[in-house]
Amino acid sequence: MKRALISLLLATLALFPALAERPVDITRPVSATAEISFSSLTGSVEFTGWERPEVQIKGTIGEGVEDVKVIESGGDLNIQVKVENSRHTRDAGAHLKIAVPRGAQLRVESVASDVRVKDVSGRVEVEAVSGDVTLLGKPQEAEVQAVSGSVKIAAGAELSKIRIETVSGDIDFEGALTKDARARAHSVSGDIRWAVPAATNARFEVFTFSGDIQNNFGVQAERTDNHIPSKKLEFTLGKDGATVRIESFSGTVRIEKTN
Amino acid sequence: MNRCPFLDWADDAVDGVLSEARAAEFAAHTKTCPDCRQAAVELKRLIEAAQSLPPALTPPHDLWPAIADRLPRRVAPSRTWTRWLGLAAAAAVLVITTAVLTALLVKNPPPENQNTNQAFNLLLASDNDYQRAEAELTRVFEKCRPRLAPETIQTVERNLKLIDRSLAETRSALERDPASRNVLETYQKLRRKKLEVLETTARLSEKI
Repeated sequence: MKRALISLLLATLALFPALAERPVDITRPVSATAEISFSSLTGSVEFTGWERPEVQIKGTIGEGVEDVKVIESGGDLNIQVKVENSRHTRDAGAHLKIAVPRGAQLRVESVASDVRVKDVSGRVEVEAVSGDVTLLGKPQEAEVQAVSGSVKIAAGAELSKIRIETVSGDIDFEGALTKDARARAHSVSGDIRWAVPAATNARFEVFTFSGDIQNNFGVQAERTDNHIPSKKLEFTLGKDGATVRIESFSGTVRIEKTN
Repeated sequence: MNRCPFLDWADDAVDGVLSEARAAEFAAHTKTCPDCRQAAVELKRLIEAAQSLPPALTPPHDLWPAIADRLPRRVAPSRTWTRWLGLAAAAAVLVITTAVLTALLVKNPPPENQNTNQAFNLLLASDNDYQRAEAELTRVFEKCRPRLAPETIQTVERNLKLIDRSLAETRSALERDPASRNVLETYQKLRRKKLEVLETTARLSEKI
């Protein structure tokens, strides 16, 4: 009997978080190439591109969240997950799935939310402190700045601009570049994997202060200094075209061929 | 308020590859943003200084005091957000300036018979400005603590310490070999990264 009561109590307690969460279901019309900006404190958000000229926001918000505000301005949309009392509280998270027009330009700001974007073909910019960032699909341009979160980009189309910066988070890029693309990746201690097709035309410049550089395309890195273990790797794939600059302080950099 | 585009485009501006569209967008932005307008003027001066450099590098030392003077004036005590904007703009100016100076040093190496400590001396000249910006942004970061989860604060502090350790290691390497331009560039980027982490964390926590 006692065990049954404890089980009932635990089951009841387990329900509380669910009861504290509130559903979100918002839809707004936008143009096919609208700029969609989003900001949140913690939780998770997943953007998915679709064919409809509208934004649909679905998911749940914790009791510490005041509201999900949607502000329209000049055809663009600003989505803000506002936290109550301007102070950190428990359950201040939002877990949202947001459908946006495939050609939308995305700008995402998050303190500790995991951010996932897929099937968006416009420009994608993400700033995050501790959340992980994943970009899948066919963005034209991708700019991601993170601190401790990892960044993964697996692009199904050629990108013309990529900029990824982290402090301790790892960087994993796999994709093709346009002929005049500019790509930069920088980390302090995070490892960097950069994978491109063998047929890429690009100039690579890679430097690490105390990490290692591994290159599957043949040319190997050289020591640059007698006093420190820094290494540099410079080579051109195919003919000059795109420029790829990769730097790490202590993380390992791996340049790989995609299948 | 959108993040100041100058921060994002500093590298492109330094490399001279800012696209026409972005340049036009930035020009339009400067019409409504006095901070960016002023920063653009200073960047233009730096680029002109770079273009007029003789083969033997002549560092534009005289630009630093002007930038340093702007730091305290930008702090408006009445409104938090205005204060932050000022700090972000000041940090942006510093970031751009250090990036431009580093680019100058890398692209205009002094001849072998010149004093090879010149680049490092220029770095030392910027130390005070950097430390002031760092101290200001650290103060703002401290104010935003109540808005952040303890684990987020720990994460940020852990990463700031990581940058500090990397800075110390790089600085030590520079003191041993002041002529190493790769290391100098790494050092500048680490300083810039520390300012960015402080500024980004403070700005995002304030916005939400």
